[in-house]
Amino acid sequence: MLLEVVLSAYLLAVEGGAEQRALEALEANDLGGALAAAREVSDPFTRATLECRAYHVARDFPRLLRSAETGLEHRPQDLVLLWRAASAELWLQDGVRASLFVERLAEALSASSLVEPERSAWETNVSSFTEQADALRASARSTERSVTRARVVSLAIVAGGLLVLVIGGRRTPE
Amino acid sequence: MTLSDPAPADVRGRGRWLFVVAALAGACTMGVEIAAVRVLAPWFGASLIVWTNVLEVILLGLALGYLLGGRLSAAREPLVRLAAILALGAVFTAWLPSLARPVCELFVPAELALHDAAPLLLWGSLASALVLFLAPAVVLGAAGPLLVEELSRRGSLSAGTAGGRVLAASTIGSVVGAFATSHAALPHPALGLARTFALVGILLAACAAAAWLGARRRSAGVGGLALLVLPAPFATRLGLPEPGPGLRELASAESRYQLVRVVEDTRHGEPLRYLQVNEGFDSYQSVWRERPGLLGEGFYYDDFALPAWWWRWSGERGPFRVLVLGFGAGTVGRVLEGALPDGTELELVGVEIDPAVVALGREHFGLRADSAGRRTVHDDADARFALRALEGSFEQVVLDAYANQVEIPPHLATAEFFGEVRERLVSGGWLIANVGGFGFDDPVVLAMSETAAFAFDRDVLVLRVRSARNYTMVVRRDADVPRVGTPEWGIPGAVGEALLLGRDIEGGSVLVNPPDRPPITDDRNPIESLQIRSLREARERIRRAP
Repeated sequence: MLLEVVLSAYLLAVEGGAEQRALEALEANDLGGALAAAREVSDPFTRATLECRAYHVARDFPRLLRSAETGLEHRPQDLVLLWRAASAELWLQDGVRASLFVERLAEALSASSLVEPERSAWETNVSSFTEQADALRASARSTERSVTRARVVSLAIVAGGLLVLVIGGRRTPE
Repeated sequence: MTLSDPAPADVRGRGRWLFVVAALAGACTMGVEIAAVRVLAPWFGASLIVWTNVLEVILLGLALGYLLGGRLSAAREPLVRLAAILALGAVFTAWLPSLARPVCELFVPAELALHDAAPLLLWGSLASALVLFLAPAVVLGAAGPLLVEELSRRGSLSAGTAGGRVLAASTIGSVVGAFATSHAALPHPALGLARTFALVGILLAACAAAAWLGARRRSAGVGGLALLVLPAPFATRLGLPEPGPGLRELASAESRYQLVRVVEDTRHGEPLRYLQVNEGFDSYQSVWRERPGLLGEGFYYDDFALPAWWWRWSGERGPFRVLVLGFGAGTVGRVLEGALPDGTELELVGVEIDPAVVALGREHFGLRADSAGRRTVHDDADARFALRALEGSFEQVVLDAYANQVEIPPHLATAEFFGEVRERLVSGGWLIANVGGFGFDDPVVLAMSETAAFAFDRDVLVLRVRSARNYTMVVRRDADVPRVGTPEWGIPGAVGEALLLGRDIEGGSVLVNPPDRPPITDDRNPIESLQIRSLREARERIRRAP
């Protein structure tokens, strides 16, 4: 919430017009209006940031990720975009990709000039995301192990059974 | 036979009981086969994949059993071998439900998400079925050749005649076993799944005892094995998955169709209750919140309130009659009662195939009878059958019928069915349906919406449900659905914001046009293969922009 307010204030101070309209539309939950206004914004980073907010509200995480990656091309260490991207990957339950964004977020946070209490708030976020990403990766590994185990057991038993049928069918009892 | 062997007994006097054993073994085989899917259902569901795996395992076991029985029949006393085989089968079967959980847990990780479930539905259910059911099937298969050998040694029956009669008796037993298991044992309040297996074990033990008594040489080991079956009805328990982290089980029931349970989640302050049906994944069939009305983000049920708002916003008045096919525990009714425009006269008819679900709804989901007759629930009724049998027309039909967690019943997905729904709607009436899927191009979402579009000869509006793996499809009889950006689309106030947020941008909704031919008909119905494909492609599809 604090981050949203800080970002809104920054954008208002630096650029007006389309960004203003986009921000007002986002406040009113008019996502169509927000995206239309965002498309008129000339700065690609600002445009991407506005789009990410709209797609976050819409819970359209694939589009959010596309916009976030576009914005990060211009500002690779932007905390907000990295946070949104990590959050989206966690929602999509991709632990590997989420971890990559969380690591980038942690590095960006270390390199930033944030002071307390904002720094602690961000560090808490990073810890929480790290935990969630680790849990997803562990779950994915567990699923893979379960599938492998099931496949091996199934094929072994079926192959054994068919072998018994073939061999047993050839031999006649004495 | 040699001159020193005892003279053959009269086959008619001492052989008939062997046909009874054959019939009982056949009944037990079919009982195990039908009940087997129910054992696996809490872990893997009861979809076509699981049914096919169980059938394959039983058939493989029977084939191995026939071979084994053939080899054992060369023994001096086939009856001794028969008694041992049946006693072993009795013990396996009686205690099988207690093995379900430790075996299935080997192949199902904790907290498995639905979009990762596809490979485990196939391999996990196959592996579990092989470990649990192959041995009992082998044992039951071995009984046949031993019975044939005993009968043909006893007297004047040739091997062919004995074989034919044993097969006939076994098959008749299978018919009886199938009916008895499905209609009597499984849904019986005193039996249920675990005790059905125990009962099968007891029947097999009785057959083993008969064979043992009929043998000239009797092994004490066989008797001991059979005795292990006796405690089973009191001690065997069906192991079920834990409700999930933070969930508490309030009630459970076994019905003719499925295992059902009610769990409560109090982790986020206000309690939420879920009805889970054979659930092995992170999904549910009904939801309850203390106050009626919209459930909030992530719950597709809220979309079922949209037609009434659009209808009212267009100036319509009068009773708003809603038919819900797949009523479950009454979530739709509860949402509508609390979320419709002020002054709406709601008349609700619900159809639900499983009476156990409705009973749990009455006890835990606030489902109540209405003395004015404006709330009617028909339980124990199939949706399509009820659609034809019910009288009157409706302003809205809700379709929310799912079987086996992820499957739309095939007969509720066809152009003919949607045509029948159309006929029950008033002119301008609405069909709105929940379709589980992972994108607008999901095979199931696309096929269902195109089929409905064909049947109604109108564009279908498909809405993505935020934070859920659901889509709702909306179509009208003799009228167009509201289009994004038109005056008909907007709904004022907080309800409009809640229901339409994000639906007016790319990725929020699409319109599906009527195709030249419907993808799904009563004659050609690929819905099951489409559902399998949907699960297989889920992981990849959720990463694509909707």
